[in-house]
Amino acid sequence: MISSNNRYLVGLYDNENTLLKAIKKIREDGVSITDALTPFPVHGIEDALGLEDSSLHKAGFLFGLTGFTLALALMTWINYFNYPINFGGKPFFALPSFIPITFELTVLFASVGMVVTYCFRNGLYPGAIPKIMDKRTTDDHFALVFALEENEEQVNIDHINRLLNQTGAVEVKERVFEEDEEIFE
Amino acid sequence: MKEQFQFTDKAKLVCYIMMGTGILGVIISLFYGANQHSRLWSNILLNSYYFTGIALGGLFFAAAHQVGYAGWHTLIKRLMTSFSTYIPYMFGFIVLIIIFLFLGKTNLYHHWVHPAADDLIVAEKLPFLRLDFFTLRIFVYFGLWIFFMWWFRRVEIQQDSDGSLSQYQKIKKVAAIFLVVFAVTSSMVSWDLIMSLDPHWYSTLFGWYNFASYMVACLGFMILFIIYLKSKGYLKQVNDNHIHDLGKYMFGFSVFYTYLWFSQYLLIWYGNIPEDTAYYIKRFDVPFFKALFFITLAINFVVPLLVLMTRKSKRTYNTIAFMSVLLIVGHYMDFYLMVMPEPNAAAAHHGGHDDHAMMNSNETVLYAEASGDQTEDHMQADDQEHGNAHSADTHGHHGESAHGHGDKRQTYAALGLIELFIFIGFAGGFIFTVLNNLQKASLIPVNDPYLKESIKHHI
Repeated sequence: MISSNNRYLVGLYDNENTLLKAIKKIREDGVSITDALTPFPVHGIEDALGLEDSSLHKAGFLFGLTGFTLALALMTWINYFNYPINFGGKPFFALPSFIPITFELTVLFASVGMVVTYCFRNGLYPGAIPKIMDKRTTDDHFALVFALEENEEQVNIDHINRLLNQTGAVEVKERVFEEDEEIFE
Repeated sequence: MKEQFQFTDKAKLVCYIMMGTGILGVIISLFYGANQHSRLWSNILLNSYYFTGIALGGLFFAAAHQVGYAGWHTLIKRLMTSFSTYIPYMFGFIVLIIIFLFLGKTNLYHHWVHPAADDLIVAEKLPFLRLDFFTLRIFVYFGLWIFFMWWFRRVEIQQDSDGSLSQYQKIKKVAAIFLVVFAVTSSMVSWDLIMSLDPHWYSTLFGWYNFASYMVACLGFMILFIIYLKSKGYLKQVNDNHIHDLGKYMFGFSVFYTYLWFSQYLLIWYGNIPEDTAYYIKRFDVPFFKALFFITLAINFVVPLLVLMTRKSKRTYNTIAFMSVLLIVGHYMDFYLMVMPEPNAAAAHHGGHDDHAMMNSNETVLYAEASGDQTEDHMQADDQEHGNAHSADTHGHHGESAHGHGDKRQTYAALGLIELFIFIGFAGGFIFTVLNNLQKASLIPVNDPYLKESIKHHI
């Protein structure tokens, strides 16, 4: 995932098969890949990159549980403790009639919660400045991104550079983001 | 590429032992003669309906994927269609029930086979629920299913020797017609075989509800068969991804089942109309059924929801196999609750009279415990209103059960060795038929255009 880093090495490929082979080769050499950017979902890329299962679904479960508890608690408090009204002779704690609302609130919390979590984790909150490595990754190019330290040793950079060229990268470039870069040129 | 399954003698022996256990169960149940052997007949009806559903589910699943241009299921398509070869045997059992109905030797469907004179609700439905018309309908349903099973499998096996696309196009047409036929017949057969056990009551989504229930069991059997075949060295190309997809279906259908189960329950609970609530009263008045009612809900909804939710559990063979077995048992119990209370009611020899009386005085029962004085007043008024219409005996009985203590409603139904043995017998027959039909053709449809997509399936 692209972090607070400001200096990157970007290798561009022109098809996904070369990309998958390149990822395998580069990881075998012990170089860690920060991110891979592709114009469409590539099958098997998660396995190739060795990505761990996202914990987003755990967040979703917890959001759902929150909605479930909140809905049941609120309805019980209103209908049973705070302001009991007799509806058609039903008991005040009428669980079956609570369930549709509980279900809706569970779904609402889980879905909205997951969308918001996803956006924030990926730096897509309002006012965020996206780091665009190369505009062609939304069209016909595939990029491998390596985060570099401010004072990264030239030996490492050369090593990655060589690996990228060996594995068939069509272009290799260094990308440095300034604090106040104009993103929509 | 062609894979030939060998049904070994050892596997056959296991199936024979299972079927023998079933026969043993039938023999034991002959000693329970109450209500014209109601325990035996309701077990046969329950199991043959359950396995008809599972067998049909296999054909439906194959047909739906065929029409939907699916590719991933191609490797296990043969398995799905071989499920359906059990339908003719189940037809045999239903025919047996029909013969005994004609002979008057079983009390299944006694409400409309021998309607009580004062049973006005059933009297209105008698033009539909007649034994001759009933028999005709059952023959039409099963005839259609057996015909489509035969047609589907014939074209499919022809495809193995014919490399052209014409068979593939033909299966698509067969599948599309079958889906239309299935939509109507699967719903109607549930009214005829299960809902008409108590013709006083009806539910408009009953067919769907039944379908969702046996579909989960069908997927459970599918997963178990795949794991068995893989353990014997067949279907090597079927991998975690296929099992994962079936697991997702099982999870999805479990939730869908609960949705329909609850839709039926909520409307009846909320409407609280006597002719609707009668169904649930019969299940709540007997503590055994009431316990089973909530156990079934827990097994069929809560457990799969929590266990099958994660990706890992659907890809771990032990977990998914355990869940398959659990859900097969859970949905057996669901059908058990639909079938058993009616033919095994100890008061059934009163004919329709008892139920009719009950329908008039039970409207408060569902919430009698919870909401205090007001409902009791209502109930007393209700009793006075209807009290003179029935004997003091019946009146007292319902007054008590409405208060929630004293369960006068008795049942001959039980969940014991007889049920277990007969279920094992039917399951043994099912496994035998499926494996026997699997060895009649290649395990993999070698000329299917989607075969490669299925082998490369990845999620």
